[in-house]
Amino acid sequence: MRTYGKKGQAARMFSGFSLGLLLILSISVASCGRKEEPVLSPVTINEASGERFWKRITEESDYRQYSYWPGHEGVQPGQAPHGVFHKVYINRTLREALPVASRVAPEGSLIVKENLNADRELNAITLMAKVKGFDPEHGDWYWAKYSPEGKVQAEGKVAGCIACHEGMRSNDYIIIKPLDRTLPAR
Amino acid sequence: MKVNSIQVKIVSVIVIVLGVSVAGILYVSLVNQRGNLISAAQRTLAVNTSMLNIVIRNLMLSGEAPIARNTMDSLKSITELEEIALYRTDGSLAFHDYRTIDFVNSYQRKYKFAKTPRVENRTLMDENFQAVLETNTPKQVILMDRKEMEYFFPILNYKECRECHGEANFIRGVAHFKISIAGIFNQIAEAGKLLTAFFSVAGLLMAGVLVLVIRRLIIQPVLGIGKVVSLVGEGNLDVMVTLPSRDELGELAARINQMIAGLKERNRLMLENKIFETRIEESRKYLDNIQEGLLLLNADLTISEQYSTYLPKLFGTDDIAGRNLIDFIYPDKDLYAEERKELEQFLHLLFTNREADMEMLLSINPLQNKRLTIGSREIVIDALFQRIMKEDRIENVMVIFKDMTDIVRTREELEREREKSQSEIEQIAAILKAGPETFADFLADSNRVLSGLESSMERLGTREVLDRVFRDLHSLKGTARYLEFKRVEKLIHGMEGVLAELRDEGVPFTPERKGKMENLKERLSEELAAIQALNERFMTFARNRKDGGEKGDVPDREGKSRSELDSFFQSLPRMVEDIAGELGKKVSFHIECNLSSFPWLDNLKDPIIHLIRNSLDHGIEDPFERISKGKPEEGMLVLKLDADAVQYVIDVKDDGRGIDFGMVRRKAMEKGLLRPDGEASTSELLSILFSPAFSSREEATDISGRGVGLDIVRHRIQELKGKVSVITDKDKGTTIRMRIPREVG
Repeated sequence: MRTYGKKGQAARMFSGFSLGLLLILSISVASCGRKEEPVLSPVTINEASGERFWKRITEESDYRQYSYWPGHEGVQPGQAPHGVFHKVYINRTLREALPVASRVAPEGSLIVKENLNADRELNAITLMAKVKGFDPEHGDWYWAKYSPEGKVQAEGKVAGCIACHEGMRSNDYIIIKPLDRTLPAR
Repeated sequence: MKVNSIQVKIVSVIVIVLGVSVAGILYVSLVNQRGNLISAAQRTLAVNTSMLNIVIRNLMLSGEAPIARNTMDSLKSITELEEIALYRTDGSLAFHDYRTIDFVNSYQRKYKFAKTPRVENRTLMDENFQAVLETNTPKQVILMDRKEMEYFFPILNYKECRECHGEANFIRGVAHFKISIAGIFNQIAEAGKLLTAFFSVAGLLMAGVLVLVIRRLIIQPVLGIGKVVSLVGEGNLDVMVTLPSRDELGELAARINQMIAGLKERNRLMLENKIFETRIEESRKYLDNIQEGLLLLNADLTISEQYSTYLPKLFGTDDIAGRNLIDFIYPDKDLYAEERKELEQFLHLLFTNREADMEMLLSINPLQNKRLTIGSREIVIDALFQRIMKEDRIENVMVIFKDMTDIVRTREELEREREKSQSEIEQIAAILKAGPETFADFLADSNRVLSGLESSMERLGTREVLDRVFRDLHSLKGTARYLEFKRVEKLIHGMEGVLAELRDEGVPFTPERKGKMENLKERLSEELAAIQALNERFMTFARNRKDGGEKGDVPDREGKSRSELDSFFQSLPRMVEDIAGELGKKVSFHIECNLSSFPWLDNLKDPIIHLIRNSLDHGIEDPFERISKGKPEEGMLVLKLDADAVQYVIDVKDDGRGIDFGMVRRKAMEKGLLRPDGEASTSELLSILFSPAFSSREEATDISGRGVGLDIVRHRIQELKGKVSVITDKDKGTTIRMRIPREVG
C-alpha cells in the first residue's frame, strides 16, 4: 500500500517501527527456551571454592541451561548417596568434548547433579569441576555439595565423594556413562 | 416433539457438551490418577529398593553373606513382590555358586566365608539390565501391557565393599524387583466406573436442570410468542403475549403486543372505515334514488354537502351545497322580501325554539304546497321540515321537498274539468229552463262587456273607466246568477275583487293584478264560448223542434210575450229562496203582476234582481231579530208590476229594517263622500246611497256589498228616462219604486 505525503510519511515510519519491534520480539521469544550457554574460562586452582563454583553455575551461567548428559536426559533413577532420582547437567566444555577417546574429561568440565528425593524434589546439588592441578591423584576434580539454596555443604577434595567415585577411576571418576561412548543420534 | 424442535436441539447440545466434558474430565482425571498412583508406586519401590540396598550392603559388610542370602529368600515370600532377585553382572543369579565366596576368601584373609547351600541358577537377559550395567544407575521400567513395574538396582562396589570384593567392578550385582501394578489399574477402573456413574448421573441431572431452565427461560417464551404470532397470522387479534420478564424476550413480547395492538387498531379503523363507506354508500343510494328533494340544513341556514340527486333536478340547478336556503328558494331579494322574511323566521324558530313542538311549528310552515318560480319554471313544492338532534342540541334540520307540481296541476285540471262539466250541466239546465233565446241576449251582453273591458284594460287606472267597467261586470254577474251560471258568476266576482282593490284601496294596477285580470277574463271568455256552443246546439235542437210545431216563442220587441215574463217570474222565487237560504233568513216572496207584457223587461231584469237582493241582504232581518222586534219570523218581500196610462210602476217592497240613514251618513263620512261635519239632507243621503262606490256592507259578498247595485238601478232608470224613489221606515220596511214612462221618445 503506497501512501504519499506527510500522512504517508508518518504511516511508513510507524509500519517500519512496528515491523522492527515484531522482529526483535520474535527472536527473543524464539531463543527464550534456549539461552545460549556462555563460553567461560575455566575456574583456576586459585579461584576454586565452593562459593566460586556456585557463582559460576548460578550467576555467570545457569546450570539449568546446560545440556543433560546425552543419553541420560531428564529425571533418572538414582541411588544413594545422591537420592532416589537425579538430573545430570554437563557444561559446554565437557559436552563438546564428548566422546573422549582417552576417557579423560577436559579441563573446565563441569558436571552438576540435582539430587532429588522420591518425590522428585530438589534435595541437594552436587558438583564435579575439573580444575587443572587441583587433585592430580584423583583426576583433578573439585568436589562440592550445596543445599538447594546454595549453601556449601562440602567442597574441595571431599573424601566421601572420592571414595565411591574412585571405583570408576578408569572412567575419570564418572559413573553414569562411559566417556568414550558414541553419543546417541540426535 | 418434532425432530427439528429447538428443545431437541438444545437438549442435544447440552447432552453432547456435558457428555464430552464429562468424558474429558473423567479421562484426564483417571489418567492423572493412574499416573499419580504409578509414580507413587515407583517412589515406594525406589525407596524400598534403596532400603533393601542399604540392608543388604550392611549385611554384607558385616560379613553376613548367608544372612543376606536368607534375607533374599525370605523376601520372596512377600506376595506383592512378584520377583525379587540378585544378579551378578554376567546375568547369573547371585548365590548360585561359590565363585564369589572363593574370590572373596582368596582376596582377603580377614574372614573366611563358609560354603552355605546354593540356589538354583537362573540367567537374566534383559536390555534394561544391560542399560543398568552401562550407566551404573538404577533403571525403572513400567510394563503397561503386563501391568508390571520393574526395578533394576545396581549394587555398587562402594569403598567398603572393595575391601573384600576387590577393585575390579564398579557394580557388584543388580537387584531386580518386579511388582504388579494391576491393582492400580483395577483401582483406576473402579474409580473410573464410580466416577463415570457419578458424573453421568450428575451430568444427567445438570442436563435436566439446564433443559428445564432453558425451557422456562427461552423455549416456552419463544413458543408462546410463536403461538401468538401464528394466531395473529390466522387473523385472531384478541391474543396477547404474557411474558412478565424484563429481558430481551420480555421486550420482544412487549413489542409484539404493541404490534398486535397496532394491528387491532388498524383493523378497527379499517373496519370502521369500511362501515363508514358502506353507510355512506347506503345513504348515497337513498339520496340518489328517492324521488324527493332532500337536504340537510346547518344552523347557519346553509345547505350541507349531501343532498339527494332529485333535488337539483327539482330545482333545475346544481348550485346547492353551501348556499343559504333562503337565497336558494327566493333568489330575488326584492320581489320576495316578505316571503324571505317569513321563511327566515320560520327556520329560526325551528333551530332555536325548543319549547314549541314540531306539529305546532309545521302548522306555520311557509312552504306548504307553495308555488315557486325557479328561473323560468313554475313548480309547486311541499316542504317538510324535521329537526335532527345531537344529544341535546338541534344540530341540523332536514328538509324534504315533494314535487307537487304535477299533482297540483292535475288537481287543478281535474277541478277545471269538473267545474267545466258541472258548468255544462248548469248551463244545460239553465238553457232548458229559460230557453236558448234568453241566452243569446246574455251572451251578447257578456261579449259586449268583455270587449269593453278589453279596450279599457289599460285605462283602468282612470276613475270613470273603472266605475263603468265595474258597473257592467256587476250587472253581468247578477244576470249570470239569475241564469244560474255559477262559474261565470264566480269569475266575474273575482274580477270585481281586483277592481275593488283598485277603487277602494288605491293600489297601483301592477302587472300582477293585470295578469290576474287577464287570466280571469280569459277563463270567462272560455266559459262564455262554451255556453255559446252549447246554446247553438240547443238553438238547432229548438229550431228542429219548432219545425215540429211546438211552443217556440219568437222574440218580438213590442209586447215581450207573457211567457217571457212568466219565465222571469218563475225563476225569481227560486233565486229568492236560494239567497234567503244563504243568508239564513226566512222570506215569503210573492209577485203581483197585472201586466201581460213588459217591454223593458230586459233592461230592468238586473235592477229588479239587485233590488230584491238588497232587500234580502240589507232589508229583511234574520228570524231572531225579527222576533225580538215583534215581527213575524218570516219576512215579506213583494215584487209588484203595474202600469197606468203613462207609466209602468215597479215596486220592490220588503218589511225589513228600513234604511238606516245614520249608518249611511257614517259610511259616507268614512268613504269621504261626506264632509266630517255631516250636514246632509235625506235626499242627499239617498243620492249618496245610489252612488257607485257606496256600500253599507262591510265586505263584499256575492250577493251585495259591492256598492254597485243601486248605482245600476239608477243608471238603468235614467237610461229609460224613469225615476226611482225610496220609501223607507225604520223597522217597518222599504219600498223602492221605479217609474218608467210608457213611450220613450
